[in-house]
Amino acid sequence: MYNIKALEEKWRRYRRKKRIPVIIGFFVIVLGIGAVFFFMQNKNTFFKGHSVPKQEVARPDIDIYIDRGISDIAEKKDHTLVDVPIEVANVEEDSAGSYGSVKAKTKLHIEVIDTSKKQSSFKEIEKRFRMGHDIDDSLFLAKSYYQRKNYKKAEYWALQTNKVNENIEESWLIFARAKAKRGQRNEAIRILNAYIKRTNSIEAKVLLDKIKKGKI
Amino acid sequence: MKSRYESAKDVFVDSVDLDDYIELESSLTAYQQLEHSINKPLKMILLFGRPGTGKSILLNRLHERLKYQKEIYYFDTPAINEKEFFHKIFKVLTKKTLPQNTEVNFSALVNYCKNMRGKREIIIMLDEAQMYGPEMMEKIRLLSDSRAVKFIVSLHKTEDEDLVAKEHFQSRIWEVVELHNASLKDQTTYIHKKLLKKNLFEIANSIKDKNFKLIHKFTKGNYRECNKMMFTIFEICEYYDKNEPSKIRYDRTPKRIIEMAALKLGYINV
Repeated sequence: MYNIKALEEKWRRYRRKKRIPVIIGFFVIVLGIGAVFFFMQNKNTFFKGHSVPKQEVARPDIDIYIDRGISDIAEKKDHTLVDVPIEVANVEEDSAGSYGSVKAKTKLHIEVIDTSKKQSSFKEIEKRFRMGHDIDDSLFLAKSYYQRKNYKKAEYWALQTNKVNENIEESWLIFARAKAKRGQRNEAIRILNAYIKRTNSIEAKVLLDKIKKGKI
Repeated sequence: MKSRYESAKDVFVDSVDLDDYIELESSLTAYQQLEHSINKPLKMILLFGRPGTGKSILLNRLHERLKYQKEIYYFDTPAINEKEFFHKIFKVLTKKTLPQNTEVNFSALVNYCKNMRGKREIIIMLDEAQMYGPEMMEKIRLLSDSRAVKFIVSLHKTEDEDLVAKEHFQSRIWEVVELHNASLKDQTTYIHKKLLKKNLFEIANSIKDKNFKLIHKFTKGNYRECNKMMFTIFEICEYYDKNEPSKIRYDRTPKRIIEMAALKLGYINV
């Protein structure tokens, strides 16, 4: 009869030795999985660094370029359409808030109406202002006429804006500029001084300085 | 109380016992090949194979089957010297015992054989023939040249003996029958049949396919190694059966016990 106890001990040592490659294999697999996860984490970080910030994403369903008056004009189809390509990145966000895959950038074409070229457009807006007294319309007209060097009309529409709301700085400034352009510098200075006295506006001070120096 | 494993253990005691002979597909092929070679007009037949591949039991079986049909003799152990060997040959040929303190005249013996040609056909099977020296093998060849005596020479196939077999017999041997280790299927049948022959059904059924695979892996299909392995397995089982029955299950053979037997026999090392 063998010494079974000694044989059992030998067998236990054999089993332990036999398990070593299995244990090593297990750890290798675990480390491998860990490495894959680590890589995935880094990958996400990489994508985060290159993703387009949320606030900068232009969405096709937000009509940031079209105002009400212009929309109305667009409906009448008597305008010139300018095709403006805008790059839009579609970012998919999952419910957890993590960044998903970033799709290829697509170009969105929106139609912007060039109102500065058509006299009929101004007429339409003037008409609408008279009906609704919307300062956006009057200010738009003031700016547009000023750009087109029609200072008299610019002065008029700046005044109209000011009548509705005398706190719109832009209307004051356009009015003063238009006055100056028309050669009424003293009047422009008087107006600006009155406004500066009331509001202490830096913009107004800068403009006043320019007018005084004869730059405008 | 006698353990059930004691009988199982005894089944695998390594012996050349014809009652324990197990007919297997591979051994049947070898047997038929050898029997067919005997009937050919050949002078020498080489039975070749590694130790434990069943050469001795095959020669025994052939002797047992043909002893009433042919004049066939089986020399199981090699003679310690040439004198003793030719004493045995003399007795076979003349059916007389040589008087003490006399020696066989080899030339006279060869002539005697030549005179026998056509009258008698004697088959002599020499087991463990690797133990005969080259000079003795030459004399055996000369006797076979008489065409009255046919020799079946059984040799171990080891590195050196392989060389001997090739160099010495290549030009002289007319037929070579080679035995191989058992396949998994043959070894499974061998173990099963051995146990069933002794009515040990439960124990035979407790050895599952995966156990047979493991046993075959350790023993490489060698019958002698298989017998040793099975003997050791059942001896360990016997110990547990008698002393720690909780460590053994009768419906299956634990892998642990097979590995313990393999450790004991040195098939695996720690």
